[in-house]
Amino acid sequence: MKDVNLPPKLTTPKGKGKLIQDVNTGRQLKFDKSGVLGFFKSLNPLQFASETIAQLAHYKHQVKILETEQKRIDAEASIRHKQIDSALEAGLKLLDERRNALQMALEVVSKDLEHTHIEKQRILDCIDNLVANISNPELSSEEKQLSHATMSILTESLKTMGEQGIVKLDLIAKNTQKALEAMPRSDLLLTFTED
Amino acid sequence: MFPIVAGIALFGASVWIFNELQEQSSRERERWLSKREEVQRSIEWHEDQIDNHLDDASNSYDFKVLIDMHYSCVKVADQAYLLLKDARTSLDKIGEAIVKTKEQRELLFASKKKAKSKTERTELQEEADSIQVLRGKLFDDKDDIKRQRDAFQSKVKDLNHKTHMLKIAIKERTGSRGTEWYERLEARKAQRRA
Repeated sequence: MKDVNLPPKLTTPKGKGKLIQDVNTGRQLKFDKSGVLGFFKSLNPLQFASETIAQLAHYKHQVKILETEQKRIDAEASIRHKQIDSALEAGLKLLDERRNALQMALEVVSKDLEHTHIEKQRILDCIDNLVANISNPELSSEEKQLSHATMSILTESLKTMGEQGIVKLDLIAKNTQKALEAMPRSDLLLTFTED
Repeated sequence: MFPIVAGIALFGASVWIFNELQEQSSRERERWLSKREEVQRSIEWHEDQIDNHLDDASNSYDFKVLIDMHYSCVKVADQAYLLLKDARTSLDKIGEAIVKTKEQRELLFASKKKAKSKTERTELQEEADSIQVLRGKLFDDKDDIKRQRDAFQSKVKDLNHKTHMLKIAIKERTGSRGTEWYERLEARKAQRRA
């Protein structure tokens, strides 16, 4: 005889992954009335009574199961909310740590570049004075030639500092990029898996 | 007579009991169906709530990540801009020096023509040669610093573009928090410009 009481359909997941585990929603209780045997069974009043009592007991039991499932769903939902809060808290804490580390690194390079900037300003002031020396009639030819040589050295320094600036800027840009790429993505941080 | 009456009564009682049982069974079935619907609705409600909570948490997290990225990008762009400004100032100064040396060289040549003694002419020529060497160096350094300026300029442009993209992403992808942040930032900018 074939089984007329097939298992119930599972609840389908929706939204972001499966948020609530499969729920047992029960099934209808049916009796096989097919065939000659089924026909004779339906003529038996006691058989009819026993089926009705079985159905009554079955539905009462199913309602109890659903009540329990409802409690389980509420509890599971509450756990899910707590999981989200904890994952977010952990993620934000991690971000804070990374941000502090990144800020410190940026601060170091920033100070270094600030010093270089001040040094360049001093060099530029010196160049200003040396440019004034070029046409200063009070200076001797030797002094002027010395000014020319010094100016050559100073502009060379400016060039070198500029090159160093490019290297340092590239370095902080790359390090910052790396640090930012290493930050976990929110969709990985807050995903529920069935494992 | 009695057995017939008793039989009818028994039959009647049996029919009543059957009906009662069937009604009860039908009521329980209805109760079960309505309970099942209630549970399904409750699942949907909870899933919506969890979805919303997830979206909210995700927005909060993305907001923080993007804010951090924006902050770092602005900081690096500031440094690049500082270097660009330095390169521009250096170019201006070298430009000034080139102009001055040209003027001085012309003066020296004029003085040399007027000079009477050989010693004076030699001295003026030496100074003119020294200026010529310096000018050569200044032109070379100017070209190199120009290349540096172009590199900083392109870096600043690139970083400014990235900062702008991050700003738009914060505004559009992180919900009301991002929109409010964007509006505050724009208001501060407008205030600074005014």
